[in-house]
Amino acid sequence: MLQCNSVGVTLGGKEILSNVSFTLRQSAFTAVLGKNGSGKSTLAACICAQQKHTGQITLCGSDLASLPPRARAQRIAVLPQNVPTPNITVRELVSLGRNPYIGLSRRMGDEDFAAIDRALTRTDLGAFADRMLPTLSGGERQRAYLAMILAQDADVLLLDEPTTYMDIRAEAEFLQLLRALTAEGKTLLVILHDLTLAAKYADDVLILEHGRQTFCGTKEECLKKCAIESTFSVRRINVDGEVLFLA
Amino acid sequence: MKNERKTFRICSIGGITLMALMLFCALLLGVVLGSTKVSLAELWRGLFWKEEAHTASIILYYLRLPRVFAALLAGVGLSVSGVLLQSVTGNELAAPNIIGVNSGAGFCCILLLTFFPKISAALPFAAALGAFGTTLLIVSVAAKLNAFRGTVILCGIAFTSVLNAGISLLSLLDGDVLTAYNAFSVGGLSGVKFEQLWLPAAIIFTCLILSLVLSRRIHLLCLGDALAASLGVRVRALRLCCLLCASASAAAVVSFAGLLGFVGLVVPHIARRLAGQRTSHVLITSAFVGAILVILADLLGRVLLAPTEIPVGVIMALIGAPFFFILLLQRRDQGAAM
Repeated sequence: MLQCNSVGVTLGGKEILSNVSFTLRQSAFTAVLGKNGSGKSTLAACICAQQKHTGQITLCGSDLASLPPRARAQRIAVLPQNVPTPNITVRELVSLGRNPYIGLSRRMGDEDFAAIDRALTRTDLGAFADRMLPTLSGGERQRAYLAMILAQDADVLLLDEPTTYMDIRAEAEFLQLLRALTAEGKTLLVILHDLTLAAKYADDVLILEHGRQTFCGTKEECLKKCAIESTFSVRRINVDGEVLFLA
Repeated sequence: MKNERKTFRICSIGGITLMALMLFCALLLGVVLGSTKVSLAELWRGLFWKEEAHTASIILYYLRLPRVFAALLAGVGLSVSGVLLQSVTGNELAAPNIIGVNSGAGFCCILLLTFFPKISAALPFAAALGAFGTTLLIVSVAAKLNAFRGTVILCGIAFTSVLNAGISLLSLLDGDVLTAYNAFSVGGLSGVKFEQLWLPAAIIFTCLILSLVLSRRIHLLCLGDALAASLGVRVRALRLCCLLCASASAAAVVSFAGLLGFVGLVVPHIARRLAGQRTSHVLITSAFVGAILVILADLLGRVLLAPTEIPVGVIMALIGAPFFFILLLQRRDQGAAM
């Protein structure tokens, strides 16, 4: 699975990430938590091979940086924090997820069309397939992008704050969908800013503070060690068996 | 949905046939109309019997046919260049001049006219060399600064300012140079010969084919660099390739038509409205629309004040500017990206 060994980034003499090491558990939902500027997005950029770094990031033993872009894209799919809204249909957007499997001939085969239909069905977007992307709500648009990275058929999904612009209901539905994907064998690394949601949906937690990894382990361990409380200076309460974090 | 229906219509076999038919009509009009009219019968005789001494044959082979072919090439070359530039910079106002095509070509021309006035026949080559060289310089600096998308536009502005200052300085030194440069900078197709067109034609159609081959990857750039890269696209290499194609295509046009403005800016917008956002569709539609537009603009320039000719560059600016303004107004009213 995805493994980071002593990953570090220094930009303009400033250390952005330092000695981050962890291994993702297969078919688990790992939440990456940290205050603003803690290095979460930089870590995501390193995993996507878009940021030069020290240390090594491997996927099933292969160095990610040395993999050709298309081979890497077949194994790890990424949904960045800020995505544009091009004037294309949902189906067209989802079909772009098949790019790693299509050569310069640009022809899509039955397997590609089947993957697109599967992704649309899995995200419950079948009825929206012919809608133009700008006409969708924020939550629907984000689901369309999720369908695109599902069509990519990669085992590891990396999502950077995917629920930022969603209302509470859309956020819950989206995270439930992500949670269900782990049951189907997907391994998820999700950067989240909502601590309560992380405690509710994640299996594992990685906490970054000032570019350093302060905790990495299961959610239960995290709650037991009060790692979230000490990093974010919040208090935890339990309501009806659910964990809530309050400032 | 509305947009999708349009996309289907224009990019179906029927749509392409319609555009090809319109292009054929424009070519036909461009050949038969002008200060001297050529009837269809004369055109037929001239084309297939090639009577060397016949006036219609002379007009056809030495004036009209090279000219409409040049207009077709100019339309295709500049439109394809515009589509590529707008796609890779993510800027709808991008046109060949932002990557230094105009300033580079202009500077090299004025250098040639100043220091080697006797070899003014080499003007097209100097223009192409200047256009391509400046683009390479801008692209290399932008690539070195490691922030390609926005930086290439800023580098273009900086280099254009320096080269324009050079043009002004050199033209101040010699009034004759300024006159010759002005004629070139307006852009026109008068006096163009077939021999001048084969190499630009090869460059333009090679760039078009390469762009079509890469069109799916280019289309992915609309998702932003991070997503495109995560989908397996070598973003920087693709961008560099597209910029070089755009530059080569525009430089090839500059070599025989001078600095023809507005085509590279306006035509991609028209094509997007007709064909939707898919890059392959936009490229094909732009090539047809660009060719038709330049052929008709050149024809208008020939017949409007016949026998006096208005350069096609002037007609394009007169048509292009208001047309572009209307497009912008429609876009504002629709409240959506074109």
